[in-house]
Amino acid sequence: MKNSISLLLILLIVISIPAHAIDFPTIKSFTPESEVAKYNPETLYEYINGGADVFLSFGFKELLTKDFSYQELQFSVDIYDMGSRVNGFGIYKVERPVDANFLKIGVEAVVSPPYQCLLLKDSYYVKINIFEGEFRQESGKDILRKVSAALPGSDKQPTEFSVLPVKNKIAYSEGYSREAFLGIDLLERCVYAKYKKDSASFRYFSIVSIKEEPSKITWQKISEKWKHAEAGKSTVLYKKIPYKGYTGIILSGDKILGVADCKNLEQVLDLLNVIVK
Amino acid sequence: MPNKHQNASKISRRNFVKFGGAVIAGSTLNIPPLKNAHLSQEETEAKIKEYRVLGRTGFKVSDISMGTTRMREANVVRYAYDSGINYFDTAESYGNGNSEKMIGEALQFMDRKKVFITTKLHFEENATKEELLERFTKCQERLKTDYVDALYIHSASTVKILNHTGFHDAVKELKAAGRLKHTGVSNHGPRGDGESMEKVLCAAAEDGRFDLMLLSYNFMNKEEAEKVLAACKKNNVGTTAMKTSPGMLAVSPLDPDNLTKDQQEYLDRIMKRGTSKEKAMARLKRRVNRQLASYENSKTFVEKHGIKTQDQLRKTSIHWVASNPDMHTTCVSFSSFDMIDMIVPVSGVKLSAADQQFLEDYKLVFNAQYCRHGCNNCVSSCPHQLPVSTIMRYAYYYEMQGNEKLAMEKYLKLRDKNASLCFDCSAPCTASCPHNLDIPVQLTQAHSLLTLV
Ligand code: SF4
Ligand code: SF4
Repeated sequence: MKNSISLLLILLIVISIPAHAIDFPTIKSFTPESEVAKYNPETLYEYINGGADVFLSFGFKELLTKDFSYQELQFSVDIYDMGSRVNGFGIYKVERPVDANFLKIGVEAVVSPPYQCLLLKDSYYVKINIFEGEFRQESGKDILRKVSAALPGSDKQPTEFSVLPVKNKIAYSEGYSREAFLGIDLLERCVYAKYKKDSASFRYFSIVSIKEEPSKITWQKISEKWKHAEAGKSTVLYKKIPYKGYTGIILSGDKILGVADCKNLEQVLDLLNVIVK
Repeated sequence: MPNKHQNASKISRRNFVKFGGAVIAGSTLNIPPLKNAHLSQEETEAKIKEYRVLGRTGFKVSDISMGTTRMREANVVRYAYDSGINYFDTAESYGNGNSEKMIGEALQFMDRKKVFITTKLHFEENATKEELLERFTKCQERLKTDYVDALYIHSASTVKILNHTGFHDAVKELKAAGRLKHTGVSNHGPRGDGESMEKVLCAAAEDGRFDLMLLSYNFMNKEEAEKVLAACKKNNVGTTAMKTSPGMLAVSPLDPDNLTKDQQEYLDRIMKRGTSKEKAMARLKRRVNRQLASYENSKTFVEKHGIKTQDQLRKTSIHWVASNPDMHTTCVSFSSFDMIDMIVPVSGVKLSAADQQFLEDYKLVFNAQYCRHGCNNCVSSCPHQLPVSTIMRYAYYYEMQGNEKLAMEKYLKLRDKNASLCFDCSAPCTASCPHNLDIPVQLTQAHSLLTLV
């Protein structure tokens, strides 16, 4: 949340067009059934109503949508350009089902019968909505592969996730929260994943540093509000989160690393020790 | 080839998939029993002080309620409940159904009879009763509740949709089965070719079949929204406000040697279209100068009121809405515990004269810079019938979105019905904007921008 004014005042929502605008890609074997429709941040409401708010909060740039037929299916392919890989990851995570068979197509994909497939590739979040024909897992995978192959960009997870430990991580549990991670305003731009070790479940996270707000500034802001604890030569900032136990962060080089869902401060310190190592 | 949206009405299942609902498969109602709810409360900082009767539903709702478009943690819903909030608003399309799931998760910690849960379905004319029933079933499964307090037509943009037979047939069946108690209509203000909010919601209030209205209401659109409120009061319809805090204080330090992300993106976009770096930088500088000029205009106001934070504006705006007793509840999209602690204290508290003045002044300063989307009040005063708000919107695409190509192409399509006419005009439109926009000045500036002359 912005908390100071320096120079300019802009009314209403500040928006911008895509940084990597693409034309709708040609998708092998699909027969086009409509023209492409485009929506920008101002017009997205016309397409998805109140659902648009969350897309805008993740930095939505442009939506391209077009209808196709393929074999006995008819469907629309909605390509949301979210402007960056990590924003794409964030919105995909918000919209995907909690429990499903996640697929390694693009960065990640999911077939959600009877009517929908979701795909993440690079900064593109793709929703495929089947509206005619008998739709099964296999045809969903086939469609997802074709769409993924047609889209430019990377199939890898955003680099921001590389700071999170691999050991004990629950597969496909990663996410990106642009604002109020854990319901805390100060925790903006957090990549996170869930972990399970013995009987303990917890989340590691890292606050993504940006040019306008390097980690040291973020650390300073949080240190004014959270409690301090000493861990060897380092300082840990920690806080009790309603209903969810303790969370704590540590500044390691130019990165802020954190752990959440701990039952007490000792566990915070132990787990931070692991991530720093 | 047909345009995608000419084609849309032929396909009934499109509604279903486009607006979400794919998260849980199956159409038979299948609500797992709630776990043994332990209703222990977290000590919240602030408590709701006022509850109001929600029109003819008779339910007493907290004057501040919770919207869930930006909510990512079920515990934030629980915290809101522990603060005394008892009205929770969601929709099938929020997070592709995941917002409903989070409310469902939090519901196990609440006394179901003490909370009012609403959800919404958006649909087009071709939607059938069966399709709507199937979608509602999924909403109910995600919410993990035997009944939903109210189902809204989401973003109803025409009066015609209020008479949708499939919707009313589905509602009848759901009410008979005890799965739904009330219906409502939501409207965000004019969009695309839709009718005005006032027209749609006043018709809905008079209709008799809708118990609730969810409307855009804030100190900037007071006049339009209060007509809806009057119609609701007359018909004992419950009212909920959304979009309660317009206006934004955005901060962007200006240093040409150290561009912000937004400025860099603007520069990249222009250069991507083949403009040289030098020219692109010159354009960026012009843009920055215009922004500075705008800031200078507002500086006195900002200093007078000592505005330090966006939160100050947000809180006061919400307080203004909640102070109107004809608005039964003010729906705030809470994403954090802190925000609940910040907003809940306005519950039941009268807006101070100083805060009232603050909003009046804000409105005066900013109204005059903001041409209302979908408004055409001034058109009749122009002998050339210039599409004023459309031209200003194109200028907005150009300037605020950096979408110069699109803006200029669209402007070109207006042919001779463009703002070049304003240069030799005696400007009978001058005093015709109820929001005090200086129409001739704004239009001639827009023309220069959109034609690069
Ligand atoms: S100044 Fe422009 S908008 Fe106003 S009346 Fe003249 S032509 Fe019409
Ligand atoms: S200038 Fe004023 S009256 Fe004219 S369209 Fe804009 S807001 Fe409406």
